[in-house]
Amino acid sequence: MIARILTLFLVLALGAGLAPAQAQDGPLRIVIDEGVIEPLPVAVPDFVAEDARAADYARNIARVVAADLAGTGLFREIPEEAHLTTVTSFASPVQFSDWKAINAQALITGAVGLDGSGRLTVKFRLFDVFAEAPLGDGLQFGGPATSWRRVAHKVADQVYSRITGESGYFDSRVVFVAERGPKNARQKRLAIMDYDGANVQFLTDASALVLAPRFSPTGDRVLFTSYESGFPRIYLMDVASTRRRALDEQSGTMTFAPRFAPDGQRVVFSLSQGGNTDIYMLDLRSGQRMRLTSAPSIETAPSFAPDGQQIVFESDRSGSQQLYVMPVTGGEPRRISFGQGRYGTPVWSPRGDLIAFTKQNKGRFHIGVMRTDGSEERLLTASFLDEGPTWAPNGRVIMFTRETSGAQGAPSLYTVDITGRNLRQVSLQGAASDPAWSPLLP
Amino acid sequence: MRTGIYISGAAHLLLIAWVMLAGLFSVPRPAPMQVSDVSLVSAEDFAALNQPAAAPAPVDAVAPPESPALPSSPRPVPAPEDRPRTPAPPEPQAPARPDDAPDASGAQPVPGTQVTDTVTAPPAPEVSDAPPAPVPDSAPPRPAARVAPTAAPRPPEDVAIADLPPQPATRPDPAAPAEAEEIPAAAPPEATTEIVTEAEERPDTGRALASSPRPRARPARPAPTDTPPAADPAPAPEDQIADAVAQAVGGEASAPGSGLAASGPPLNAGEREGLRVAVSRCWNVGSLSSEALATTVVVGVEMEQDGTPRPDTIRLLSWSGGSEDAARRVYDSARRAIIRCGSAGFPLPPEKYARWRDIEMTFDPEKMRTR
Repeated sequence: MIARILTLFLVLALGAGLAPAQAQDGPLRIVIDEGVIEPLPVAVPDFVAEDARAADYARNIARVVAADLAGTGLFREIPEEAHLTTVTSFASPVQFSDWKAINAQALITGAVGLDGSGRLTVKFRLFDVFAEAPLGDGLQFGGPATSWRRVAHKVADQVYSRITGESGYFDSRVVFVAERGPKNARQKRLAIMDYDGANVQFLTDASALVLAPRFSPTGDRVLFTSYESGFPRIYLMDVASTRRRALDEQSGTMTFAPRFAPDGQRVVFSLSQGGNTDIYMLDLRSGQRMRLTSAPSIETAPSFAPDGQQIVFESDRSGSQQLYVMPVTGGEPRRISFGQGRYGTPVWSPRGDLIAFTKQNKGRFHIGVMRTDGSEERLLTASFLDEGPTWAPNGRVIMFTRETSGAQGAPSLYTVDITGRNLRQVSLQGAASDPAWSPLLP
Repeated sequence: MRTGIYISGAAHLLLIAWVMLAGLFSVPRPAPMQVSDVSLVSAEDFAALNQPAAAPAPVDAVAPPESPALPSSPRPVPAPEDRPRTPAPPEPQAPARPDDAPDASGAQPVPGTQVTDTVTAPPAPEVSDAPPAPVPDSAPPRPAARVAPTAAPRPPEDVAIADLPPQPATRPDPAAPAEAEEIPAAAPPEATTEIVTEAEERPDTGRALASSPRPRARPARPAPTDTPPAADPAPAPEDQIADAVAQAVGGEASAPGSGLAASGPPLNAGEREGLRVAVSRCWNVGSLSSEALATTVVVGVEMEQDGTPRPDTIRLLSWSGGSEDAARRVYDSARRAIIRCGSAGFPLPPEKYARWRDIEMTFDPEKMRTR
């Protein structure tokens, strides 16, 4: 009897131990949970000029596309000197072996035409070299020749989106404060530029100090703070015409830190009166103003969540400068920052998943991100002075102001990926601060 | 029956006796001796030590610690009007006043009146694409034209988007030299699996090495399988067990295979690990979105006997954790990894081809996710 029981146990045990081996019948199954993180090698040969007059455009558009992609830190352009073949016809088959040989994993080919009316036609294709297959369909863009940079940015946006799975941010603009002069007599003007620092245009002159411009959700209007009246006051400007008007003019008050609601019809801002600063919301259609906070402390720098239901702002109601979240309909704010140091200038991500902020701790300034509940705080930068983050339209990149120390110190604009990688200075002549990223252009 | 009672009673008696008497003959273990150094103190010194502590010296007699170097921090906290970044060094008496107005030439145009409603066309875009070099901090600022603001340009005309006709067949030229595929043009860039932000970077200690760690031992590689299988190899112990169990339960675990169905001994752990490492080396997730990095895909592939994958059989079997679009991006990256690193053949035992002819690879980028 005992021998039978032991035999049964042995058989069952061996059967259980053998189960994995028997499970290998059929396909072999393995799990790959580790990989490498490196820029994707991409080849961007000069686009084919379908017209002799389009030769310069063909080359320059390809260069801008390559610069856009490489600037993200997610791609690495294989230099033209390493190319084994030249693309001479947009329609001819691709010699994938030549591109595999130089380890190009993605290939962008394109062609540029220019008609008699000065209208550009740009078409492109994206290939997965090792799969020897196109990634998506070919696309064609058309526009005036003067918009060739925008066309290039749109091509780059498409490539970025097809490979990464998220929307691009290249066809966008940034409004910022252009600065000039020494620190004790600095002139500040509103200016606008392409996201990469090209096509700078001034929106105001240097007769009045301006601060903190903010784009509307459609990118056609800008809110900013100006000292034109001698005190800080918020203005609304139409970007195309540069016409502007003051908002919420009341004597004895100062208004600043404005920001649009996602619907573009409401504005949140800070109003200081009698030594107290609180957050208000203004309906641009009716002009009606609503007070959102009422505390003896200082509440400022409000920023909407993308769904328009909550606001994040900074306050020193706890004794130090911290971040709080509250419903847009009012209610008790909830503190979300609990780390060491002071937190300020919170900005909600367009994706809605993160909040970027400025942090000052132990004499250093940081740009950081945290979850909307305050968890998973991560500092991305550290310097003498980093501040004023603004999100790229896809929520993947942050632009901010970095100022150097010393009497000759000057602010400039930087970008950093939300992972903390790829810190880059924006190519821009002159000092600049207070950037605000527009949405993607239509 | 009574024998058991006697034995139990005797055992209990012995136990009671041991409990009662054992303590009498045990010696408590001595407490460990504590030894400490002492010094002799004179009566004067002892009296001096017992004196109340002297009051601290006045604060101004002590050099205050140096505050962090923030000579021009633009964010003085207390004043509410300073919360929005006030312009560079504001005068405390009149914080709301801007700095001195620029000189007359600069203030001459009145912006409010000089602005025109007409939109001027943007200047011709610069054709040269060479980006200007970053301006060093000490460089003089670029002189700005002191003129009334010009109307900002409208965004350039929207571009029209049209689909292109499908690309003709783009198979590689058969005349192309096949050996060129094996020649990498450049070394792959440095790759990493960890993210260190600028804020987390350690101070630069120059070129000096902080330490000289010994290289870690190379992980054990799977046993070489290039030796031809013996004509009548001795069955592995697990196979013997499998056979015994199969015979016992009447199964077919060790039934001879047809050569097409998975049969024979399965891949051992080392062989599976070798395949996993080979694919991992080429799986680049650096260009995937956050959503894609939270998406797991299962990819199926059929293999040739030489260990190379059949590219046209690579297929997405299933996914979880993300959208279809995100799964497609992960699948693309997985496909590239399989093709790139499989072009020279994966390290798989030929004698077990039936076991790995069909492979399902689960690509899970969760560990690589960057939140």
